[in-house]
Amino acid sequence: MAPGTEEQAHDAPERRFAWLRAASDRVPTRWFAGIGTVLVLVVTAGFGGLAAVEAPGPGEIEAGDEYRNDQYALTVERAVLIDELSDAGISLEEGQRVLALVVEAENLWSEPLRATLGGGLLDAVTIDGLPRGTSVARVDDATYAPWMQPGVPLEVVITWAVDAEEFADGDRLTVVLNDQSLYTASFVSAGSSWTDPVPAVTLAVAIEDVGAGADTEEADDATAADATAPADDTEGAAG
Amino acid sequence: MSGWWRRNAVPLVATAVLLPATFLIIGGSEWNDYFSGRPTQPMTARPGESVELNGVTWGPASIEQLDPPADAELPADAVVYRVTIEVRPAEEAVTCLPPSLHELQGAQREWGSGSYEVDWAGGADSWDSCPIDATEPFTIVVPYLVPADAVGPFAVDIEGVDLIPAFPRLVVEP
Amino acid sequence: MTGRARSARWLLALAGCGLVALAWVVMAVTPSDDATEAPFVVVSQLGERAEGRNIAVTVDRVVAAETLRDQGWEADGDWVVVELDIESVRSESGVLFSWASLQLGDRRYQASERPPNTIFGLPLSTGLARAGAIAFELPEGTLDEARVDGPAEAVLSFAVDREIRLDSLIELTVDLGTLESEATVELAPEAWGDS
Repeated sequence: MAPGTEEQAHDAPERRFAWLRAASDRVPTRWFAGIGTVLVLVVTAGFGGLAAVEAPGPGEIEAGDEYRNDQYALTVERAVLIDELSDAGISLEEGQRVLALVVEAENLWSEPLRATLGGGLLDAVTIDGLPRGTSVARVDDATYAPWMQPGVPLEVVITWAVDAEEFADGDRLTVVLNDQSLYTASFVSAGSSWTDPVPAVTLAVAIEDVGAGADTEEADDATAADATAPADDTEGAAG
Repeated sequence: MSGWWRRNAVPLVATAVLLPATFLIIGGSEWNDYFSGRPTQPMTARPGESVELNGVTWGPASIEQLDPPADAELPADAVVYRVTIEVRPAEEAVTCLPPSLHELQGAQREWGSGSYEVDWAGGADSWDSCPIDATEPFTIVVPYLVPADAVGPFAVDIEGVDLIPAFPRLVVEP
Repeated sequence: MTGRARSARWLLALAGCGLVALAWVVMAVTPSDDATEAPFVVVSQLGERAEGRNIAVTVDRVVAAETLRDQGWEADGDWVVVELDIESVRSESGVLFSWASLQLGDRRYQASERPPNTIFGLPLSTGLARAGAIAFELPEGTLDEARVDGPAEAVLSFAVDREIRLDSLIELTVDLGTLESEATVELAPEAWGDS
């Protein structure tokens, strides 16, 4: 700043803040970088320093344990091998049987979710080594591809069509429960949906072979009344 | 400044023409696809007349009001119409959907085939759409369940995949 | 400083404040992005016919039930049963009763597809009303809580498409706390209604 007219004009403010300048002059600015670096190193050292950290893999729970994330509360109850389960909406080819997981599920989101659509149970519950499940049906009244209302728990059966020889009674399955992220569309699209399933926990379940399916007779009885339940197959997530 | 404008006169004019043209051509093509992919061009036939489309003769069409049988479950304020359409195909088989009935006046409401709700009102062994692989002349008989306050004349619109974007519109008067 | 300069400065300051206030008003009244595609809401009353672009609804009765029965089917829970007359107004080809929603707080429930004779999802007729019932399954305890804690306003909404943006949406507000209540409700069978 050039001395002269300007200094005169700003004389009063300058004097008023003179103490501030004097104080700031005494701050050892030159050491800032050094102090900062030391601080960062000390603090990070407390969390294990700069050593490579292994990304946390899926945890492990047991069958019957509840797993909760932002979207669902899920409890895998048992795994069943059965000759056929057409009431659950699964059709088989020659030499195939049905592998079914009985799961207690609750929708923790604020919108209804359909079990079979994207973001539904077929993405949330998978089996290691098998493709995505084929169908979902309620256990109580055999409603196929049920909607899950917020906060209303329901027991469902999730099914896979598998080769008859692939699994046997007593085999242990690795069931994977996946976390999904809420995606809110913007710009030219709209609505919210759950996408990108990422394995969160795994659990081991032993398969129970129930043969022709005497075990599910109760569910069969309920089915007749509900065979005509409406199910609109329009697009998925809430608008 | 004026020197710059003059020096770049050609590119400037080209930009002024090409930029809007780009939008017009792309947008126009999209709209053209939209309108040519659905029934947008009616070929209207007056009552008792027919219209020729793709070599097929559509019409004439007639409409009659039916008295429902005593045991028919119908809303109190409804009437049942039966529309009969003569169709004479060319050499090739013709396909179409069940025709819909439109009000030509007022609210211009639309009704679809009522062959489910008033199944007794269709013709015995007749179709409410084009029969499969029909090469001989045939008759479409389609019932409509319509509120009593709907008044003719009506238009019967026939939609067919092979006909789009044109479609026969047969005017009928009860 | 002359008087004129001083008053000019005051004027400037005032104008500045005015502009800030104006900017605040503009920000406050600017509709959200969602507003440009919001549905056209038609507010309806119990027993009163409400008409939108291609939907007309008369809600005749809203009743709470602990057990819902529909012919052979039966389920316990916190059910809200809505009896209504519904028709399409302009066209009926491909027009279904596709949207029936109950909004309670931040949660939205969809009419249950479980009762076999619900009219939710069924085709509509132009100018001829279908009468029937739909049912909402709410989390256990919701209705008791509403009765004890006082007003629990739920907004029912109806439309002909799951895509409700920029189309008519019929809305009806009910208080779950003072709702008529029955232990068992038999779902009203579908029939022709009064247009």
